Amino acid sequence: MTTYYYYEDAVGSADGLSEANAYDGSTSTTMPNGTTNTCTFNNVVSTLLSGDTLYVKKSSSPISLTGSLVTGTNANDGPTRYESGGTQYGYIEIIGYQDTIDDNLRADFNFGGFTFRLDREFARVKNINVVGSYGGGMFRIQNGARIENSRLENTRTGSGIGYALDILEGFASRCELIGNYSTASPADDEATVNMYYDNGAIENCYIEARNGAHGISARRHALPILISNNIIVTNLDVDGSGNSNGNGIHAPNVLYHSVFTIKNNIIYNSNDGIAMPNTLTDNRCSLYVSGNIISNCVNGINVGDNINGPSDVTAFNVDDDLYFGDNFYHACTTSTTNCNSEINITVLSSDPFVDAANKDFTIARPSDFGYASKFFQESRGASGDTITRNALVNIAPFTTTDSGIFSLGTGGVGDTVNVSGRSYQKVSDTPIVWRVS
Amino acid sequence: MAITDPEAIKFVNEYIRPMCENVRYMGARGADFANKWAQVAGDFPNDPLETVEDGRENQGVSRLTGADINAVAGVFTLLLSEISGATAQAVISKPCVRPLLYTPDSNI
Repeated sequence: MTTYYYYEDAVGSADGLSEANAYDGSTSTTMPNGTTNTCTFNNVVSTLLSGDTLYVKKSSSPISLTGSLVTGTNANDGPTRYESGGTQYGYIEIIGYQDTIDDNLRADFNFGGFTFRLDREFARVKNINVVGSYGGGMFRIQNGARIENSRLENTRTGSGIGYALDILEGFASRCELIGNYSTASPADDEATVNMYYDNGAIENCYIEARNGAHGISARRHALPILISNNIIVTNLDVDGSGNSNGNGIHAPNVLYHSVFTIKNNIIYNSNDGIAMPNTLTDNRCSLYVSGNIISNCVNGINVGDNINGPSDVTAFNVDDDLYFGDNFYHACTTSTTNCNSEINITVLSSDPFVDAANKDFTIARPSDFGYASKFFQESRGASGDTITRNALVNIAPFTTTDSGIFSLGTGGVGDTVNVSGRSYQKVSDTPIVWRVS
Repeated sequence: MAITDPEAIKFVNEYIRPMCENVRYMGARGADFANKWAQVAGDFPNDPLETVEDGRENQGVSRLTGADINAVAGVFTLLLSEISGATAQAVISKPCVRPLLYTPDSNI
């Protein structure tokens, strides 16, 4: 249950027990587990004991890894911190900051060609900003690990897959996940976010697959997964290759999933907004697909024949547990949905967003959503009377720069945001003026 | 008389509209190509003996010459002249559903 500090600009004793004496990345010193070693980020993280917290301060240069970092499971990890006979139990935390602890700003990392696999149970990483180029999952969470309020960009464009985040039983929340992988014909597993195992969840994230890969690939889960309240943008053609076949959520073998929930996401500029192509003969699924806003896609929802087949035809072996409904569609080139059992389909005749091409997914007219406004939770400003960005989809009502700093150049007059526990309101565009509110 | 044949409607939505979006994109890429070609055309003599040394023969990729590149540019220019006029643009744009996100630039 010890709190440690990591700061590569620190000039103290490097015992890691205070910011002044933070682990500096290069000094030989005592590690959290009592061994002596050079206090690189890898070595410090690898020796954290259950229940420890590591605060990581943004340094003048991005923190690099000395090799791929894989934290194994630990028998003492668990949801509750306690000590028994001098032995620590509980979860570990790795939390970035810039000026003061818990300022919720991000510490910069450059993983280079390495991967960080956080496999400890209940481990938590928060407030990091990572650029890297790893062929598989640049950052992986497994065994119930969590990542929050972080930005991960995998710059790899080929030779590998290029997940920014690999979720193998983990939870991601309020992250920006960027993939640059370039492909004209994305394979099932070529995506910015990979979900290929059990009990994964991703919510309130911004996911961008820039050059033709899928946004999220969710394949063959035997246990539940959840994809909710995300903004998923694909096929931006950043590299000019003209690739446009990435799907927003690509879910082959979908009938193998057990309790697969896709709800309240915004999916933009995809080939198929949600693709559920023909699958294995397993039928163990419950599929909940509701409340999504699918815009600017060739096909909104595109399901395989076996999701539409009559129940008395054995080749199509889905006969229950399909819940498609209350989705919204706008500007879908070929079709909105081909799911025969979908109900309450709403087709919007005008662009629901303020300026999606420039990544402003503010709901332009909440009244467009008609009856749905009764079902969606509206997020409101601090005053309680201002509908903020993504009012119908509870994405964070502010933007951040690459280094995790709130950008004062965005937002409209009247917008209210919360940063590090403080509330600000924009009162003028020219000049840009924000006031503490 | 209204066209209500489901096969015709399927053809419109699964073929005509997506293809028009593709052609519209190609037109925008064509403008981009013109910007870039204007800057680099001088690097490519129209000569079949001037090879592009990109070292990709061992990948099974064709070896190109200055003449090949000029020939491609000629085809592009011809094709683009057909689809870049105001009339053609209007024809192609009407079936399109999605806004075009791509913007031509001058960066090589």
